[in-house]
Amino acid sequence: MATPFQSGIGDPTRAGLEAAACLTALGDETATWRGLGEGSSALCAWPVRGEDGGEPVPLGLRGPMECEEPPRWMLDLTRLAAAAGEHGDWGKPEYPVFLTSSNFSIESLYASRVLGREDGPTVHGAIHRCADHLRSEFGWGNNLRIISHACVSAALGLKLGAAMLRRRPTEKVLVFSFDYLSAFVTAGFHALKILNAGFPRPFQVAETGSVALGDGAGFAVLTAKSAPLEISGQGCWNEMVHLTGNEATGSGFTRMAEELTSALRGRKAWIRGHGTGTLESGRMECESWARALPEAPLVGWKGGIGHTLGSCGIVELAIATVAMREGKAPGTVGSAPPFFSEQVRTEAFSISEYDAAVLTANAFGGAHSGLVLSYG
Amino acid sequence: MRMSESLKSELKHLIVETLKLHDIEPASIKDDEPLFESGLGLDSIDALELVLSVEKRYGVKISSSEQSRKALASVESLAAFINEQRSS
Repeated sequence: MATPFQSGIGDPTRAGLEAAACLTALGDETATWRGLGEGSSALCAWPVRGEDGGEPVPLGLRGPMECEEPPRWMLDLTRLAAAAGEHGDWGKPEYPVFLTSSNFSIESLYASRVLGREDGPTVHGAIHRCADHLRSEFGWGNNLRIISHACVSAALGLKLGAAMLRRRPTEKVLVFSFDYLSAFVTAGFHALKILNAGFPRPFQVAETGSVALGDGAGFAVLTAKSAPLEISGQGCWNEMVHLTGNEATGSGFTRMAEELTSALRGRKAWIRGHGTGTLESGRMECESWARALPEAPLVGWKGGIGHTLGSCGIVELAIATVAMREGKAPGTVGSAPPFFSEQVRTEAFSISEYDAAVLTANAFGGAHSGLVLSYG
Repeated sequence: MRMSESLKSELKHLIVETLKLHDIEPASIKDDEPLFESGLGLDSIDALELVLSVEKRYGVKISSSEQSRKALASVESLAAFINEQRSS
């Protein structure tokens, strides 16, 4: 039997994109696309430890970062699950679910300690319990896989999900991701000094770098059938050189840029880079694209919504789908020249002359991932 | 000058204690020896622990990863950073 698609880079990675949606501090995918396009930012200076205070740092929150039960993300996830439910009988043999997150419900463990609960971690407190709870709440079946690999969690879900489309009896795949901030997470990034009082300036040449973190959730429905938009190639690569840092020469960025350029197969593309605002990664990312695709406009959106951590791969995919439909891509919010590469755009621009978008995500440990989003 | 030497000696002990480098004699750490990579070979998690210890012990604030990298380049640079922060 013929496979539905030609192989992309690496494993079979192509998939029709039937639907994609997200929620960020700027709203749903359309509101976020519009806000970013207007140069708006949802980032505000919040105490790094939430109710417990601390240095004000830039966060993109969908609500106060409080310890509460049920978790503050439950309503958002219910809304997204209802929208995803229109596309398949999720969790049944033909409709597998990939549930991805870097944090899952780590704040629930923290809350159980802060609130002094004697019964230990709540129902959301461990990853498998959290997944079981969501499955039960949303009426999903047992065909569910959990992926958690730092900030490429959702990106890996998309890649593994696309591969699963080639297996019987799979008809569609749901990749569902969420990462909401908690004091546990923000204080961790703050201790590393990459989350600090400064607001992020992705790709900008500066003395110091800083990231912003943001709440985010979203889903993508992958199909083996044709769709107006498709993921026409995906790749991932892990340097495994260091716990948090990238290989110093930027070889991981270079490798991913080269593989994704190859996966474009001559399509004219614009690039939505990872662009968190850290100085060294921003430089290496820019330099890799300046070598691989020097003519392609490069943008980063985390200066407007914050880094949505393990869910950024899905969240920013959903925003990109709106951009592709509307023919206009938001620019790099929060940054100003000089940049590490001349291809960085700060203003929204027409993408009517482009055939595809390259979307990337990176993570601690030198993990690199990316995909090509094109018209089907 | 004497205070600076004393601070450097204190920092060497702090590094060994904080990072549990039991096989290293504090006095054997040279003032200008790189703490990361080619020198003492510390990594980013060590840096995180060291930053927290230094901030707590000396009441100084390291505000960004770039400042952290610069301050933690060696015992000498760390002592200079602490002195500068204290005098400002």
